[in-house]
Amino acid sequence: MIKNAPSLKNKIAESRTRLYRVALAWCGDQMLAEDLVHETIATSIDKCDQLRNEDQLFAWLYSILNNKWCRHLRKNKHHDDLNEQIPCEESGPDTICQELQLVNQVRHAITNLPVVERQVISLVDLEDFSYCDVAKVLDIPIGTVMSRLHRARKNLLVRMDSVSARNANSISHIHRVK
Amino acid sequence: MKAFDGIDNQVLGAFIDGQLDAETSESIIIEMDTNAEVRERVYQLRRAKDLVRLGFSKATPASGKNKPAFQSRWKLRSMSMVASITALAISLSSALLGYQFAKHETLINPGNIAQTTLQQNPERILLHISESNTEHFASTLKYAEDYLIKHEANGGQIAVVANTGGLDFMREDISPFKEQIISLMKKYKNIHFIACANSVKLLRKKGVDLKLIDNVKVKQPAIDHIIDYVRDGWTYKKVETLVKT
Repeated sequence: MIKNAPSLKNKIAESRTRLYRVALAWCGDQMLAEDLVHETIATSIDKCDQLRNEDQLFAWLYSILNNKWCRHLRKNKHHDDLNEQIPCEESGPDTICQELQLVNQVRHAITNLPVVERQVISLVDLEDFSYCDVAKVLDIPIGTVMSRLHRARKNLLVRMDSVSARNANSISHIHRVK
Repeated sequence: MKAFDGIDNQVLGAFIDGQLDAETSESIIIEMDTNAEVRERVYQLRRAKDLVRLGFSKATPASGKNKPAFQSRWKLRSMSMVASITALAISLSSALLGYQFAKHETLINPGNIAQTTLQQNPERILLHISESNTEHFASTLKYAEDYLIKHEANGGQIAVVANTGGLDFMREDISPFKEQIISLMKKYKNIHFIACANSVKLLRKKGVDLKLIDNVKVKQPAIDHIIDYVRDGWTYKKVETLVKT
């Protein structure tokens, strides 16, 4: 049991944004991501005396987040509606900025990956978790981490390239009209 | 990204993630120097990694604040503790001076002080409700009322924080326990009903004409309330656990 509980609780509270990014990558919905993070923080603050090694704090937090996310998926088996909640990739006032548009496209692409791939890619690429830690957090073998990660990256690139191709087509179409 | 020349794509992935030992990493670097296809594959994997970061690195919770208020609150608490200890020391000194015949144990026995402190500060409870579930609502009310009956006299406090579906509990239009909540708030000053500002905002955004029961507080997101209370020494309880027990 860790002696300095207030400091640990502070660390948990401060991890909110990190948890949120990963939760958002997993579920693709801002409000749901916030709820998952709320639940994760509440549970971890409540049970922080169960954490034996503070170095494992983030792995522990992401395990809790993963449990909350899996529980949500089990409770809401029809989660196809996630597609309705993903950020809009159409051009609009808020996507005029090219970077923002790209951000939306990436989020769209990631939220369309299979759940298991989303989980692995976000922990490795956003949180810089080692494969070993990801395996522990998600309770899967390292080999599975590697294969899911590879598939996730491959699928992400395929999706992004197809978006780029669509955009290029629409631009050339506009040129023809002009 | 097809497999190539004995270097597995997963190994290249492990290379860009820094998961390989120095020797294997070096052999890949050497291969990249001479082999354009391997170089391209590594580039594509890095691109995927960069895209993920680009997509989410700037994402922050809507209400994104991790308030540093805790430290100042702790400072306040420390100051108040110092003040209490000083007051206690003064009263003890007066007592000792005034009543020379009194036995020391009666005055300065730490056990007595601890007992007094416990009686003055019973466990403060924070109930968190996040599902629209009548059974959960009923359990919350029962727990709160039992607690208040037991601790009303000695300054016990209980707060009920609701978010997402749990918000229904505190809605004037649909809460099945509206009257009981109002009655509890009238009867006891040491119960607080708090609605999550985010959930309220979301429902209103969806066009729900949301009206909360009078005196239900809405200040900040549920999680901020929870963090503040727990940091302040309150005991957090999820309502589901009450139902189970």
